[in-house]
Amino acid sequence: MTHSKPTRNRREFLTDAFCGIGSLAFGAMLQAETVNPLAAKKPHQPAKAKSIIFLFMAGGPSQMETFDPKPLLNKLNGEPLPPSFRPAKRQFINGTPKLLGTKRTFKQHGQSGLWVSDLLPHTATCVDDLAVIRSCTADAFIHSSAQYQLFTGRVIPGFPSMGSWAVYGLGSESQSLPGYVVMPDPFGTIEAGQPVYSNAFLPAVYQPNIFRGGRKPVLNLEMPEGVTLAQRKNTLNFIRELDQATMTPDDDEFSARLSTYDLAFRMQTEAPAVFDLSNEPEHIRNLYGMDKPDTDDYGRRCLMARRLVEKGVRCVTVVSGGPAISQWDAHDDIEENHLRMAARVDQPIAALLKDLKQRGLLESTLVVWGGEFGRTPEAQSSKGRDHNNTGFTMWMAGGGIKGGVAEGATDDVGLYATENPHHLRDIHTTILHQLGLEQDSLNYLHQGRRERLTEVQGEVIRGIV
Amino acid sequence: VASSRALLFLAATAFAQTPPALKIIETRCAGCHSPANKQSGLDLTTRDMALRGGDRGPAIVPNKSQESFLFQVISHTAKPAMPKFGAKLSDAEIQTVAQWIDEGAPWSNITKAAVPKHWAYQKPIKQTPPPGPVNPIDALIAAKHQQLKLTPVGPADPHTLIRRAYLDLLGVPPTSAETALFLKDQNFPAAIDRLLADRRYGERWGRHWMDIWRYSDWYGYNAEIRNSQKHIWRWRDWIVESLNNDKPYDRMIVEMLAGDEVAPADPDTVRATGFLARNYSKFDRDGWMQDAVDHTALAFLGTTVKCARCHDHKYDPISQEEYYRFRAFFEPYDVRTDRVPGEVDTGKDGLARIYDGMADKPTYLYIRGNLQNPDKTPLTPGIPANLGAPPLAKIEPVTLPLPAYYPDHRAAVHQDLLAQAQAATEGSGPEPTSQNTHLAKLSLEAAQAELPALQARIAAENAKYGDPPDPKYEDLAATARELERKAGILRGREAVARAQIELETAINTPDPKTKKADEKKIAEAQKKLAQATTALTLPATGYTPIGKEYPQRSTGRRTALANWIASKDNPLTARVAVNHIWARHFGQPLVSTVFDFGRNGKAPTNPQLLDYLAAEFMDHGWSMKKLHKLILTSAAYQRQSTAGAQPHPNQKIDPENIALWRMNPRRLEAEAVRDSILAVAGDLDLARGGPNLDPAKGFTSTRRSLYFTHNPDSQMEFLKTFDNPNPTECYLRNESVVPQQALALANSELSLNQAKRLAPKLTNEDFIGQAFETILSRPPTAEERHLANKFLDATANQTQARADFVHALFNHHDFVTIR
Repeated sequence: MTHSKPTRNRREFLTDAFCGIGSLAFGAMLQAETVNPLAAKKPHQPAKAKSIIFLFMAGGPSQMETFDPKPLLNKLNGEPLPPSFRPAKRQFINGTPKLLGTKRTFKQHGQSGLWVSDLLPHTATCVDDLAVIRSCTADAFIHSSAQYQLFTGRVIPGFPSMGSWAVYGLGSESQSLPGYVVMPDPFGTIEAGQPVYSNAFLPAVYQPNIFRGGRKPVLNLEMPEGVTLAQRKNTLNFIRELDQATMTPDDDEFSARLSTYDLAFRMQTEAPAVFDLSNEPEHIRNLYGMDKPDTDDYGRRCLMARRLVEKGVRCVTVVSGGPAISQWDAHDDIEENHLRMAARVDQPIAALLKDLKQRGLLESTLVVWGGEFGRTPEAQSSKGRDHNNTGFTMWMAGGGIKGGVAEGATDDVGLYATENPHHLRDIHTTILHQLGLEQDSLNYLHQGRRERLTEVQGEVIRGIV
Repeated sequence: VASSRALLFLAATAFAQTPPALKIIETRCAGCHSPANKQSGLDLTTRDMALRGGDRGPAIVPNKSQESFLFQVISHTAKPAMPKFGAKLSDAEIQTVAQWIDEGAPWSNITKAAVPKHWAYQKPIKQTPPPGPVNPIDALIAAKHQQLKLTPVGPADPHTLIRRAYLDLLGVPPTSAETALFLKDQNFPAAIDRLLADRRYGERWGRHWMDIWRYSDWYGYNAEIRNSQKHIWRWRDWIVESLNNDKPYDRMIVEMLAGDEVAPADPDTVRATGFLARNYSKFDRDGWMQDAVDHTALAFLGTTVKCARCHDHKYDPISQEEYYRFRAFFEPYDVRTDRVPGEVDTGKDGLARIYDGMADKPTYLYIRGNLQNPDKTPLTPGIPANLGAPPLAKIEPVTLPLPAYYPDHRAAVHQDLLAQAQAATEGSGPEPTSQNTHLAKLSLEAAQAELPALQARIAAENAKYGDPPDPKYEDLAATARELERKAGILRGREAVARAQIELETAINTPDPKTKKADEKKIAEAQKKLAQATTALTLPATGYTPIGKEYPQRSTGRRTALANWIASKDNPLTARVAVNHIWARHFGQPLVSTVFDFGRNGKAPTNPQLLDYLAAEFMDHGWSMKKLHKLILTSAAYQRQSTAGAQPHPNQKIDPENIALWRMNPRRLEAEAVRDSILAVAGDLDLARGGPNLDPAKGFTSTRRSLYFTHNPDSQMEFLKTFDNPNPTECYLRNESVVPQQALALANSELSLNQAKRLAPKLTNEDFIGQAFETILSRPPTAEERHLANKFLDATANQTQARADFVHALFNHHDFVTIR
């Protein structure tokens, strides 16, 4: 572990928070060394991806119903776990549970011949772009702790999410949009709550912008009712004149505030157009499923994600699943739950991949799919599955990731990752790596310790990059 | 600087007396075998550690060099051959070490004495301030100025000064009348007294201390509490009240850590333990304990003990064992909610507090911090021995009074329960239908039986817990048992009837849409019916006590810890507190790492000043108000915050203003921005305390900002924009300037509405002057007046123009700045 002296003091922070946008109007007043914490920064190493879209399937989708076919599991349906398999501790299942076969049918798809179940017919058409990681592992089997770990690398709250780390490391490519956006499921807050997305101890400029539902996703961005652009310009000019009337040359903060009004005005005039999906042609909106009630919501958010990365937003998280049964948490009935959840996201996700690809954006956009854990091969009650953190599937696409690849494997029933197991740390390390960030160099001194996303060393998943 | 030179001299003296063998060990061995590196688990910097040895056993057996592992490895008679790096020791050197061991290995603590003792671990020395300025703060700052050849700038004008003091002490600007009052006599000390006596002070500074003490309302998953505690706002109110009453800081520490032990029968004091109740974590007891340990040390001692959870601290003298012994103070504590007068349902209101519920829970050291790998030797509570504080006093268990260990056995609780039972007999149910008339009748009968049963239970309890116990207890208990059984049977009948109705309803009205849910309901109703029927036939075994009884003794551990922290002999406590207070008056702490006064932290920019303030604070009974006044009456506090329009020579010498040749302008904190917008329009609701408010109502409610729910899950958006504190930890606020703030001030409902409300209230002939004085606490300059006139004249609709003008002043840099 490296420790070193903190360097931050108040003034440094002020110039840090300066936003460097003084160059827009008052450049002459500002010192040259002023740093904009959100200015695009050079990565530690050549980057494959500029942006990341995380498709978060809250609650934990089942590997056995999606990307990890287990013929033996169907043969052993109703039997206890054979003694040759290592049993695992679960949250709800007690005693000797019986194995539960899947009702889904698997087929090989694309040129790569990757296996995908009929739960995800649209995603199946994109397999040649996917690297399916079948051997993910995590430390926690309780939603909240597992979600903290997936987003922040720790099972407890209080650490920055990967989105905040990414913007801290790379800044933002957009001057008129937030660098890090989260689009929660309109059904409500996930189990671990908002803190999973947060900047924690990183400075506030790296905080997530959590989009609100509806037409005005960002607070205070719209012009107030009854105020015209001309009026607003007039007021802003007046504010500037007043400020300048008493400004002294030694007041950095004063001039910084003036510049923020310029940037705010720019955000206000430019950003709403980005948020307005009616600008998209009908065939694109339909591609995302915005013409059907099931897919409208997730499709809308996926399309927004594409529009945001197109404008240089660094990190977008699109959440599928809210509280209780509105998430992929199929304790009672795996079929009912997963058919319902998949029907909402499958087409939008495939559309996002195809749309990014046709615009040449997939090369520079890393798309990551997965939940905080997977599900057990054993049945809970009779038709459901419990949480499984010892072996589950995630996938990545774009951003320099190899397509049509399956990485690692679970045992023959899908319980433990047995071949090339990858802890969530490896997922984080790989994401950072694709963004050109190195896990040790990306650190922040917090109470005497250089904290990192990965806490202890993770490894780049070499098989997929 | 002078004192550290003296220490170096002392160290050199110690070094001269060092046995030559120790010099060899220090130069050739201790690099790897230090507390920081501890290769092979071995630390060769103290005799104790050398005798204890490392992973391979003791390094030295005194008087027996041949048996000493140290000798064997340096003489290469055993492996691994040492030193690992560099040449083998010379034969003469090996001989020196052997001889020294044979002489009993006398130690003069070289390696310890050779390092000058860290400044923060020595008691603050109150130097007599140099002669000159009246306020000792100024004398100590002037010394720095002379040293650096700085000429301080002049005093702030009275308008700026009174606005500064109001924002600083109350968190809102002065009204025009308040400004005028000050301008009349310009008696600043008298103005400070007025402000410190104003109860808005407690709210303003309460919020500062809530940052440092990690105030967080409860949060969880739906209704399930997973972190912090419900009704923790009572602790917030305790903070505000304590500050307004100028409760001594040492007492505040004791009440927060051990209020349940030092004043167990006083719920007003027990509120303070919200400081520890706040750490509650439903799924993670270890994380809960870590938070208690880490943040107690960070908040009160400015010490980062957390490093020592997995290994000995790499900078500060805190061993891993000491970390866990520190944890042992907290190991027994648990949280609970006591009833408060007027509400029997603790879900609706109650007292969130702590108590020692697990007195016997052992504390284990987790090897490398791994929970799966405890060293099963139980550790007793202890403090880090080398922080320069006196040893811990004896831990005395506390015998608790009855209302503390049996909180439901209080007259007020009995009264509330009786009132509730009485109300039930007066029945005011829904409009009767044929079905629920029957139910209502049964329910009323049960309620009528429950009231005497409750009275009898209370009578029995009073007899049982009387001093001395009432000999009639057995009889009273038998009566209570009988009456309760009767009431139970009646309530059981009602339950049976209710279950029957539910069952019938479910069977008779099948609905395909809700079939699944109905099936569940039917099953449940059947189960309930069976249970209720069985219950009727069971014999009563005893009466139900009124509430839960908790342990009658508390370990006294936290009291001992609190007294150790709050001691005048603890070199850290007062320094850490005055540094926090100073930081919030000057926008810049004296020790920039406010949470770390250890070796990895920053040194104080003016150590004499820090020490003087700390000593003064303790000498005046740890009174914060006296300290505020001392600081505010200094010339340093009253200086202008700018060097003026021309470049100033000081800017070259001390651009960061470390030596305080001027005041630092500061951005207002989030809460003060919102409160000020409401206050200038005369709309700020000054109602005190009470339950936390819904942050979604931040624009419609006009209560002060500190009263709104604040937790990691839920915060007011407007406040977030202005760097409100991270509820997980915030020892010093960030101060950012970002466009979202401009958007919030320009476009939010709050600023627009308040502008519209304030503008028509400004009815003076000189509208512009009044607006400036009301919003910015000063008259406009000639240029500003000219600009304002131009702006107002440009719009035909004067109502609109005036509202826009007020709105623009809300967006003025000076509005969100303490100048």
